[in-house]
Amino acid sequence: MQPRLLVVEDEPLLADSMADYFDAHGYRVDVAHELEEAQALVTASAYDVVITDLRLTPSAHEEGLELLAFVRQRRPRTLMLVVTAFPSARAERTARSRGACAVLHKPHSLAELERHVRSLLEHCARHGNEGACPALTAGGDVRTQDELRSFLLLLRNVRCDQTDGANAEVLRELERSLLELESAAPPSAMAQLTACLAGSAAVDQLLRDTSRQTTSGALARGLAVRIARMSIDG
Amino acid sequence: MTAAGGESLLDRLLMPGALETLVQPILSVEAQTARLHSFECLTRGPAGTNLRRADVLFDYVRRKGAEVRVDRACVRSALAATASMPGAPAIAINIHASSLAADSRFASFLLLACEEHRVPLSRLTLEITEHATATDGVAFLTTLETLRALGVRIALDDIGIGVSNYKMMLDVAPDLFKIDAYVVHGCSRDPRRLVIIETLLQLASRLGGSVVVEGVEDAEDLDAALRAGVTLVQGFLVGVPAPAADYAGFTERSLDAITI
Repeated sequence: MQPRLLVVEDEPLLADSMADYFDAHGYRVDVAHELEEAQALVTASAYDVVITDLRLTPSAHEEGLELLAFVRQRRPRTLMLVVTAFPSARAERTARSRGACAVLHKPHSLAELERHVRSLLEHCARHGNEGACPALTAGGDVRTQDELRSFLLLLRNVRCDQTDGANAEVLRELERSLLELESAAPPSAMAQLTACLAGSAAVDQLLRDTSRQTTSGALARGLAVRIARMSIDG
Repeated sequence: MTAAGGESLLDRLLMPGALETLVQPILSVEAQTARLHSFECLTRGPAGTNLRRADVLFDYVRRKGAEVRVDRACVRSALAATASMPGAPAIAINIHASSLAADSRFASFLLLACEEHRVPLSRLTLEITEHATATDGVAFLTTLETLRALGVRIALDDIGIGVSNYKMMLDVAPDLFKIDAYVVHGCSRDPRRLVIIETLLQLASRLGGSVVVEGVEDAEDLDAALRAGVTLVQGFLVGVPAPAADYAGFTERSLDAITI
Protein backbone atom coordinates (compact mmCIF):
# COMPACT_ATOMS: atom_id res chain seq x y z
CA MET A 1 0.00 0.00 0.00
CA GLN A 2 1.30 3.45 -0.95
CA PRO A 3 2.07 5.64 2.07
CA ARG A 4 -0.10 8.77 2.12
CA LEU A 5 1.92 11.95 2.41
CA LEU A 6 0.84 15.55 2.83
CA VAL A 7 3.36 18.23 1.85
CA VAL A 8 2.56 21.65 3.30
CA GLU A 9 4.71 24.31 1.65
CA ASP A 10 3.80 27.85 0.59
CA GLU A 11 6.48 28.04 -2.10
CA PRO A 12 4.76 26.46 -5.14
CA LEU A 13 7.89 25.38 -7.00
CA LEU A 14 9.38 23.72 -3.94
CA ALA A 15 6.06 22.07 -3.11
CA ASP A 16 5.76 20.70 -6.64
CA SER A 17 9.31 19.36 -6.69
CA MET A 18 8.76 17.61 -3.34
CA ALA A 19 5.47 16.17 -4.59
CA ASP A 20 7.07 14.93 -7.82
CA TYR A 21 10.01 13.37 -5.96
CA PHE A 22 7.88 11.52 -3.43
CA ASP A 23 5.40 10.51 -6.10
CA ALA A 24 8.27 8.98 -8.09
CA HIS A 25 9.32 7.08 -4.96
CA GLY A 26 5.98 5.38 -4.49
CA TYR A 27 4.12 7.77 -2.20
CA ARG A 28 0.59 9.05 -2.68
CA VAL A 29 1.08 12.78 -2.26
CA ASP A 30 -1.23 15.73 -1.60
CA VAL A 31 0.05 19.28 -1.47
CA ALA A 32 -1.34 22.19 0.54
CA HIS A 33 -0.05 25.75 0.38
CA GLU A 34 -1.96 27.24 3.30
CA LEU A 35 -2.55 26.32 6.92
CA GLU A 36 -6.34 26.17 6.54
CA GLU A 37 -6.07 24.06 3.40
CA ALA A 38 -3.81 21.61 5.23
CA GLN A 39 -6.18 21.49 8.20
CA ALA A 40 -9.13 20.75 5.92
CA LEU A 41 -7.18 17.94 4.22
CA VAL A 42 -6.07 16.43 7.52
CA THR A 43 -9.66 16.51 8.74
CA ALA A 44 -10.85 14.74 5.60
CA SER A 45 -8.06 12.17 5.17
CA ALA A 46 -5.73 10.10 7.33
CA TYR A 47 -2.13 10.71 6.23
CA ASP A 48 0.76 8.52 7.24
CA VAL A 49 3.15 11.47 7.15
CA VAL A 50 2.83 15.25 7.12
CA ILE A 51 5.84 17.35 6.10
CA THR A 52 5.31 21.01 6.84
CA ASP A 53 7.29 24.18 6.35
CA LEU A 54 7.57 26.17 9.56
CA ARG A 55 6.42 29.42 7.94
CA LEU A 56 3.54 29.30 5.49
CA THR A 57 3.18 33.01 4.85
CA PRO A 58 5.62 35.85 4.12
CA SER A 59 5.15 37.01 7.72
CA ALA A 60 7.23 35.68 10.61
CA HIS A 61 4.32 33.61 11.92
CA GLU A 62 5.13 29.95 12.39
CA GLU A 63 1.94 28.39 11.08
CA GLY A 64 3.71 25.04 10.86
CA LEU A 65 3.71 24.84 14.65
CA GLU A 66 -0.03 25.44 14.68
CA LEU A 67 -0.46 22.66 12.16
CA LEU A 68 1.61 20.26 14.28
CA ALA A 69 -0.70 20.80 17.26
CA PHE A 70 -3.73 20.35 15.03
CA VAL A 71 -2.47 17.11 13.49
CA ARG A 72 -1.38 15.74 16.88
CA GLN A 73 -4.88 16.31 18.22
CA ARG A 74 -6.84 15.08 15.19
CA ARG A 75 -4.56 12.36 13.85
CA PRO A 76 -2.29 11.14 16.64
CA ARG A 77 -0.94 8.32 14.49
CA THR A 78 0.31 10.63 11.75
CA LEU A 79 4.08 11.17 11.68
CA MET A 80 5.21 14.76 11.29
CA LEU A 81 8.39 16.39 10.00
CA VAL A 82 9.23 20.07 9.87
CA VAL A 83 11.42 21.82 7.31
CA THR A 84 12.51 25.40 7.77
CA ALA A 85 14.78 28.07 6.38
CA PHE A 86 14.53 29.91 9.72
CA PRO A 87 15.80 27.46 12.32
CA SER A 88 15.76 28.39 15.99
CA ALA A 89 16.24 26.34 19.14
CA ARG A 90 12.91 27.63 20.47
CA ALA A 91 10.93 26.63 17.37
CA GLU A 92 12.67 23.26 17.27
CA ARG A 93 11.82 22.59 20.93
CA THR A 94 8.20 23.56 20.35
CA ALA A 95 8.00 21.45 17.21
CA ARG A 96 9.33 18.41 19.06
CA SER A 97 7.02 18.96 22.01
CA ARG A 98 4.13 18.99 19.53
CA GLY A 99 5.16 15.65 18.12
CA ALA A 100 7.51 16.47 15.24
CA CYS A 101 9.86 13.55 14.63
CA ALA A 102 12.51 15.69 12.97
CA VAL A 103 13.26 19.29 12.10
CA LEU A 104 15.30 19.67 8.92
CA HIS A 105 16.99 22.87 7.89
CA LYS A 106 16.68 24.19 4.35
CA PRO A 107 18.35 23.69 2.04
CA HIS A 108 18.20 19.94 2.32
CA SER A 109 18.23 17.35 -0.39
CA LEU A 110 15.02 15.63 -1.35
CA ALA A 111 16.86 12.33 -1.05
CA GLU A 112 17.73 13.12 2.56
CA LEU A 113 14.13 14.05 3.31
CA GLU A 114 12.83 10.88 1.69
CA ARG A 115 15.32 8.80 3.69
CA HIS A 116 13.97 10.32 6.91
CA VAL A 117 10.39 9.61 5.91
CA ARG A 118 11.18 6.06 4.81
CA SER A 119 13.04 5.32 8.02
CA LEU A 120 10.13 6.63 10.10
CA LEU A 121 7.65 4.53 8.19
CA GLU A 122 9.81 1.42 8.43
CA HIS A 123 10.17 1.89 12.16
CA CYS A 124 6.42 2.28 12.55
CA ALA A 125 5.79 -0.81 10.49
CA ARG A 126 7.95 -2.75 12.96
CA HIS A 127 6.93 -1.15 16.23
CA GLY A 128 3.79 0.92 15.73
CA ASN A 129 4.18 4.67 15.90
CA GLU A 130 3.36 5.45 19.54
CA GLY A 131 6.41 7.21 20.87
CA ALA A 132 8.36 6.28 17.79
CA CYS A 133 9.85 9.63 16.96
CA PRO A 134 12.70 10.07 19.44
CA ALA A 135 13.67 6.41 19.25
CA LEU A 136 13.90 6.54 15.50
CA THR A 137 16.29 9.38 15.13
CA ALA A 138 18.17 8.56 18.29
CA GLY A 139 19.78 5.43 17.02
CA GLY A 140 20.67 2.72 19.50
CA ASP A 141 19.61 -0.90 19.56
CA VAL A 142 16.11 -2.27 19.49
CA ARG A 143 16.03 -2.59 23.29
CA THR A 144 16.88 1.09 23.68
CA GLN A 145 14.26 2.07 21.15
CA ASP A 146 11.61 0.00 22.88
CA GLU A 147 12.61 1.48 26.23
CA LEU A 148 12.37 5.03 24.88
CA ARG A 149 8.99 4.32 23.42
CA SER A 150 7.72 2.82 26.62
CA PHE A 151 9.11 5.74 28.65
CA LEU A 152 7.22 8.27 26.55
CA LEU A 153 4.03 6.26 26.64
CA LEU A 154 4.25 6.05 30.41
CA LEU A 155 4.90 9.77 30.67
CA ARG A 156 1.71 10.49 28.79
CA ASN A 157 -0.18 8.46 31.37
CA VAL A 158 0.70 10.68 34.32
CA ARG A 159 -2.48 12.66 34.60
CA CYS A 160 -3.96 14.82 37.30
CA ASP A 161 -7.33 13.17 36.87
CA GLN A 162 -5.97 9.84 38.02
CA THR A 163 -5.83 8.68 41.61
CA ASP A 164 -2.64 9.08 43.59
CA GLY A 165 -2.16 5.31 43.65
CA ALA A 166 -2.52 4.95 39.89
CA ASN A 167 -0.12 7.82 39.22
CA ALA A 168 2.35 6.40 41.73
CA GLU A 169 2.37 3.08 39.87
CA VAL A 170 3.02 4.81 36.55
CA LEU A 171 5.74 6.98 38.10
CA ARG A 172 7.53 3.98 39.63
CA GLU A 173 7.50 2.32 36.23
CA LEU A 174 8.78 5.55 34.69
CA GLU A 175 11.65 5.62 37.17
CA ARG A 176 12.57 2.01 36.36
CA SER A 177 12.41 2.86 32.66
CA LEU A 178 14.63 5.92 33.09
CA LEU A 179 17.21 3.93 35.08
CA GLU A 180 17.25 1.36 32.32
CA LEU A 181 17.77 4.05 29.70
CA GLU A 182 20.54 5.80 31.62
CA SER A 183 22.45 2.56 31.94
CA ALA A 184 21.94 1.28 28.41
CA ALA A 185 21.09 4.01 25.93
CA PRO A 186 23.81 5.71 23.86
CA PRO A 187 24.37 9.45 24.43
CA SER A 188 22.65 10.29 21.14
CA ALA A 189 19.48 8.57 22.30
CA MET A 190 19.53 10.41 25.62
CA ALA A 191 20.07 13.72 23.81
CA GLN A 192 17.04 13.00 21.65
CA LEU A 193 15.01 12.13 24.70
CA THR A 194 16.05 15.33 26.44
CA ALA A 195 15.05 17.40 23.42
CA CYS A 196 11.75 15.61 23.27
CA LEU A 197 11.04 16.17 26.96
CA ALA A 198 11.80 19.89 26.84
CA GLY A 199 8.54 21.76 26.79
CA SER A 200 6.37 18.65 26.58
CA ALA A 201 2.92 18.86 28.14
CA ALA A 202 3.49 15.58 29.96
CA VAL A 203 6.63 16.91 31.64
CA ASP A 204 4.82 20.12 32.58
CA GLN A 205 2.20 17.97 34.23
CA LEU A 206 4.86 16.00 36.04
CA LEU A 207 6.46 19.19 37.35
CA ARG A 208 3.10 20.42 38.60
CA ASP A 209 2.67 17.11 40.43
CA THR A 210 5.89 17.64 42.38
CA SER A 211 4.17 20.10 44.74
CA ARG A 212 1.58 17.54 45.82
CA GLN A 213 2.11 16.03 49.25
CA THR A 214 1.29 12.56 48.09
CA THR A 215 3.12 9.40 47.17
CA SER A 216 2.95 10.29 43.51
CA GLY A 217 4.08 13.84 44.31
CA ALA A 218 7.20 12.51 46.03
CA LEU A 219 7.93 10.15 43.15
CA ALA A 220 7.33 12.94 40.65
CA ARG A 221 9.81 15.17 42.52
CA GLY A 222 12.53 12.53 42.15
CA LEU A 223 11.79 12.03 38.49
CA ALA A 224 11.59 15.76 37.77
CA VAL A 225 15.06 16.22 39.26
CA ARG A 226 16.45 13.48 37.03
CA ILE A 227 14.82 14.95 33.94
CA ALA A 228 16.09 18.44 34.84
CA ARG A 229 19.60 17.02 35.28
CA MET A 230 19.35 15.34 31.88
CA SER A 231 18.44 18.70 30.31
CA ILE A 232 21.45 20.40 31.92
CA ASP A 233 23.83 17.59 31.01
CA GLY A 234 22.37 17.47 27.48
CA MET B 1 -0.37 33.53 1.45
CA THR B 2 -0.30 32.41 -2.11
CA ALA B 3 -1.26 29.36 -4.06
CA ALA B 4 0.24 28.05 -7.24
CA GLY B 5 -0.97 30.93 -9.39
CA GLY B 6 0.31 33.68 -7.07
CA GLU B 7 -3.13 34.48 -5.67
CA SER B 8 -4.61 32.92 -2.55
CA LEU B 9 -6.71 29.81 -2.87
CA LEU B 10 -9.71 31.72 -1.55
CA ASP B 11 -9.26 34.34 -4.29
CA ARG B 12 -9.22 31.61 -6.91
CA LEU B 13 -12.33 30.11 -5.42
CA LEU B 14 -14.22 33.36 -5.72
CA MET B 15 -13.30 34.03 -9.34
CA PRO B 16 -16.27 33.93 -11.73
CA GLY B 17 -16.79 30.39 -13.03
CA ALA B 18 -14.43 28.80 -10.49
CA LEU B 19 -17.18 26.87 -8.75
CA GLU B 20 -19.10 24.11 -10.49
CA THR B 21 -22.61 23.02 -9.58
CA LEU B 22 -23.73 19.42 -9.91
CA VAL B 23 -27.30 18.35 -9.23
CA GLN B 24 -28.62 15.24 -7.48
CA PRO B 25 -32.29 14.28 -7.60
CA ILE B 26 -34.49 13.93 -4.55
CA LEU B 27 -37.22 11.45 -5.45
CA SER B 28 -40.73 11.05 -4.13
CA VAL B 29 -41.58 7.36 -3.96
CA GLU B 30 -45.04 5.99 -4.44
CA ALA B 31 -45.51 2.27 -5.04
CA GLN B 32 -42.64 1.30 -7.35
CA THR B 33 -42.34 4.67 -9.03
CA ALA B 34 -40.03 7.43 -7.90
CA ARG B 35 -40.98 10.84 -9.23
CA LEU B 36 -38.72 13.86 -9.23
CA HIS B 37 -39.34 16.03 -6.18
CA SER B 38 -36.41 18.42 -6.59
CA PHE B 39 -32.71 18.66 -7.33
CA GLU B 40 -30.16 19.44 -4.65
CA CYS B 41 -27.39 21.66 -5.99
CA LEU B 42 -23.94 20.43 -4.92
CA THR B 43 -20.94 22.71 -5.25
CA ARG B 44 -17.49 21.57 -6.31
CA GLY B 45 -14.36 23.71 -6.09
CA PRO B 46 -11.96 24.49 -8.93
CA ALA B 47 -10.74 21.48 -10.91
CA GLY B 48 -7.16 20.49 -10.13
CA THR B 49 -7.27 21.82 -6.56
CA ASN B 50 -7.86 20.13 -3.21
CA LEU B 51 -11.12 22.05 -3.04
CA ARG B 52 -12.69 19.90 -5.72
CA ARG B 53 -13.82 17.70 -2.81
CA ALA B 54 -16.88 19.24 -1.17
CA ASP B 55 -15.86 18.24 2.38
CA VAL B 56 -12.42 19.85 1.98
CA LEU B 57 -13.91 22.88 0.20
CA PHE B 58 -16.35 23.79 2.95
CA ASP B 59 -14.03 22.92 5.81
CA TYR B 60 -11.48 25.29 4.23
CA VAL B 61 -14.10 27.99 3.73
CA ARG B 62 -15.20 27.79 7.37
CA ARG B 63 -11.60 27.93 8.61
CA LYS B 64 -11.11 31.04 6.48
CA GLY B 65 -14.31 32.53 7.90
CA ALA B 66 -15.47 33.07 4.31
CA GLU B 67 -18.91 31.43 4.49
CA VAL B 68 -20.82 34.57 3.47
CA ARG B 69 -18.80 35.27 0.31
CA VAL B 70 -18.58 31.63 -0.74
CA ASP B 71 -22.25 30.89 -0.01
CA ARG B 72 -23.25 33.79 -2.24
CA ALA B 73 -20.95 32.46 -4.97
CA CYS B 74 -22.49 28.99 -4.57
CA VAL B 75 -26.00 30.44 -4.92
CA ARG B 76 -25.01 32.28 -8.12
CA SER B 77 -23.40 29.14 -9.53
CA ALA B 78 -26.43 26.98 -8.64
CA LEU B 79 -28.91 29.40 -10.20
CA ALA B 80 -26.82 29.69 -13.36
CA ALA B 81 -26.59 25.91 -13.66
CA THR B 82 -30.25 25.13 -13.12
CA ALA B 83 -32.14 28.20 -14.40
CA SER B 84 -32.83 26.77 -17.81
CA MET B 85 -33.46 23.13 -16.87
CA PRO B 86 -36.46 21.81 -18.82
CA GLY B 87 -39.63 21.68 -16.73
CA ALA B 88 -38.25 24.26 -14.27
CA PRO B 89 -37.81 21.71 -11.46
CA ALA B 90 -37.61 22.71 -7.80
CA ILE B 91 -34.05 23.21 -6.61
CA ALA B 92 -32.40 23.12 -3.19
CA ILE B 93 -29.30 25.17 -2.39
CA ASN B 94 -27.14 24.77 0.73
CA ILE B 95 -26.41 27.72 2.97
CA HIS B 96 -24.62 28.02 6.30
CA ALA B 97 -26.74 29.21 9.22
CA SER B 98 -23.81 31.48 10.07
CA SER B 99 -24.15 33.13 6.65
CA LEU B 100 -27.80 33.89 7.28
CA ALA B 101 -26.82 35.35 10.65
CA ALA B 102 -23.93 37.41 9.32
CA ASP B 103 -25.26 38.45 5.92
CA SER B 104 -28.06 40.90 6.71
CA ARG B 105 -28.57 41.56 2.98
CA PHE B 106 -28.85 37.90 1.99
CA ALA B 107 -32.60 37.99 1.28
CA SER B 108 -32.19 40.99 -1.03
CA PHE B 109 -29.19 39.34 -2.68
CA LEU B 110 -31.21 36.17 -3.31
CA LEU B 111 -34.14 38.12 -4.70
CA LEU B 112 -31.90 39.94 -7.18
CA ALA B 113 -29.94 36.80 -8.12
CA CYS B 114 -33.16 34.89 -8.83
CA GLU B 115 -34.49 37.82 -10.84
CA GLU B 116 -31.28 37.93 -12.86
CA HIS B 117 -31.50 34.20 -13.68
CA ARG B 118 -35.30 34.28 -14.06
CA VAL B 119 -35.78 31.65 -11.38
CA PRO B 120 -38.97 32.19 -9.36
CA LEU B 121 -38.38 32.00 -5.62
CA SER B 122 -41.14 29.39 -5.44
CA ARG B 123 -38.72 26.93 -7.10
CA LEU B 124 -36.26 27.37 -4.31
CA THR B 125 -35.51 25.52 -1.09
CA LEU B 126 -32.62 26.66 1.11
CA GLU B 127 -30.96 23.82 2.98
CA ILE B 128 -29.66 25.15 6.27
CA THR B 129 -26.44 23.53 7.33
CA GLU B 130 -24.19 24.40 10.21
CA HIS B 131 -21.11 23.20 11.99
CA ALA B 132 -21.24 25.65 14.85
CA THR B 133 -24.11 27.44 16.48
CA ALA B 134 -25.01 30.67 14.66
CA THR B 135 -23.46 33.47 16.66
CA ASP B 136 -26.28 35.95 16.14
CA GLY B 137 -29.50 34.04 16.67
CA VAL B 138 -31.74 37.09 16.23
CA ALA B 139 -30.23 38.04 12.87
CA PHE B 140 -30.45 34.41 11.74
CA LEU B 141 -34.17 34.20 12.57
CA THR B 142 -34.90 37.60 11.03
CA THR B 143 -33.31 36.59 7.71
CA LEU B 144 -35.15 33.27 7.84
CA GLU B 145 -38.51 35.02 8.32
CA THR B 146 -37.82 37.33 5.38
CA LEU B 147 -36.96 34.38 3.16
CA ARG B 148 -40.14 32.56 4.13
CA ALA B 149 -42.16 35.68 3.44
CA LEU B 150 -40.64 35.72 -0.04
CA GLY B 151 -41.88 32.17 -0.63
CA VAL B 152 -38.62 30.26 -0.16
CA ARG B 153 -38.96 26.82 1.45
CA ILE B 154 -36.55 25.80 4.17
CA ALA B 155 -34.88 22.44 4.80
CA LEU B 156 -32.76 21.50 7.79
CA ASP B 157 -29.73 19.54 6.63
CA ASP B 158 -27.52 16.99 8.39
CA ILE B 159 -30.15 15.92 10.95
CA GLY B 160 -28.63 13.31 13.23
CA ILE B 161 -25.14 14.82 13.30
CA GLY B 162 -23.56 18.15 14.20
CA VAL B 163 -25.75 20.94 15.47
CA SER B 164 -28.92 20.09 13.55
CA ASN B 165 -30.63 19.46 16.85
CA TYR B 166 -34.00 20.11 18.48
CA LYS B 167 -33.18 23.80 18.98
CA MET B 168 -32.53 24.17 15.26
CA MET B 169 -35.79 22.32 14.50
CA LEU B 170 -37.70 24.78 16.68
CA ASP B 171 -35.88 27.83 15.32
CA VAL B 172 -35.92 26.85 11.65
CA ALA B 173 -39.36 25.13 11.55
CA PRO B 174 -38.21 23.31 8.42
CA ASP B 175 -40.45 22.17 5.60
CA LEU B 176 -38.01 19.34 5.00
CA PHE B 177 -36.05 17.33 7.59
CA LYS B 178 -33.01 15.84 5.85
CA ILE B 179 -31.66 12.85 7.76
CA ASP B 180 -27.92 12.52 7.34
CA ALA B 181 -26.37 9.56 5.58
CA TYR B 182 -24.66 8.59 8.84
CA VAL B 183 -28.02 7.52 10.21
CA VAL B 184 -29.29 6.06 6.94
CA HIS B 185 -26.29 3.87 6.00
CA GLY B 186 -26.90 0.39 7.32
CA CYS B 187 -30.45 1.07 8.58
CA SER B 188 -31.55 -2.28 7.11
CA ARG B 189 -29.08 -4.12 9.37
CA ASP B 190 -29.11 -1.90 12.45
CA PRO B 191 -32.49 -1.65 14.18
CA ARG B 192 -31.26 1.36 16.18
CA ARG B 193 -30.83 3.40 13.00
CA LEU B 194 -34.31 2.46 11.90
CA VAL B 195 -35.72 3.55 15.28
CA ILE B 196 -34.15 6.99 14.76
CA ILE B 197 -35.61 7.26 11.25
CA GLU B 198 -39.07 6.20 12.48
CA THR B 199 -38.89 8.68 15.36
CA LEU B 200 -37.85 11.53 13.06
CA LEU B 201 -40.70 10.65 10.67
CA GLN B 202 -43.17 11.04 13.50
CA LEU B 203 -41.47 14.19 14.77
CA ALA B 204 -41.38 15.83 11.32
CA SER B 205 -44.99 14.96 10.65
CA ARG B 206 -46.17 16.44 13.95
CA LEU B 207 -44.06 19.56 13.36
CA GLY B 208 -45.58 20.00 9.91
CA GLY B 209 -42.67 18.88 7.73
CA SER B 210 -41.53 15.94 5.62
CA VAL B 211 -38.49 13.70 5.88
CA VAL B 212 -35.83 13.12 3.23
CA VAL B 213 -33.34 10.30 3.79
CA GLU B 214 -29.92 11.12 2.35
CA GLY B 215 -27.10 8.84 1.33
CA VAL B 216 -29.22 5.93 0.11
CA GLU B 217 -26.64 3.66 -1.44
CA ASP B 218 -27.94 0.14 -1.20
CA ALA B 219 -31.23 -1.53 -2.03
CA GLU B 220 -31.71 -3.06 1.43
CA ASP B 221 -31.42 0.34 3.12
CA LEU B 222 -33.83 1.87 0.60
CA ASP B 223 -36.31 -0.91 1.20
CA ALA B 224 -36.05 -0.57 4.99
CA ALA B 225 -36.53 3.21 4.82
CA LEU B 226 -39.58 2.89 2.56
CA ARG B 227 -41.11 0.26 4.84
CA ALA B 228 -40.59 2.63 7.77
CA GLY B 229 -42.72 5.21 5.95
CA VAL B 230 -40.13 7.40 4.23
CA THR B 231 -41.33 8.78 0.90
CA LEU B 232 -38.51 11.19 -0.08
CA VAL B 233 -35.14 9.65 -0.89
CA GLN B 234 -31.78 10.84 -2.15
CA GLY B 235 -28.54 9.00 -2.78
CA PHE B 236 -26.25 7.35 -5.28
CA LEU B 237 -28.61 4.38 -5.62
CA VAL B 238 -31.43 6.52 -7.03
CA GLY B 239 -29.45 9.28 -8.71
CA VAL B 240 -25.81 10.32 -8.79
CA PRO B 241 -24.61 13.94 -8.70
CA ALA B 242 -24.11 15.10 -12.28
CA PRO B 243 -24.14 18.27 -14.39
CA ALA B 244 -27.66 19.65 -14.81
CA ALA B 245 -27.57 18.87 -18.54
CA ASP B 246 -27.37 15.14 -17.74
CA TYR B 247 -30.73 15.34 -15.98
CA ALA B 248 -32.49 17.38 -18.67
CA GLY B 249 -36.03 16.04 -19.00
CA PHE B 250 -35.68 13.68 -16.03
CA THR B 251 -39.03 13.25 -14.30
CA GLU B 252 -39.23 9.79 -12.80
CA ARG B 253 -37.50 6.47 -12.33
CA SER B 254 -38.84 2.99 -11.82
CA LEU B 255 -37.61 1.34 -8.65
CA ASP B 256 -38.28 -2.20 -9.94
CA ALA B 257 -34.64 -2.72 -10.82
CA ILE B 258 -33.20 -1.43 -7.55
CA THR B 259 -35.52 -2.44 -4.72
CA ILE B 260 -35.64 -5.92 -3.26
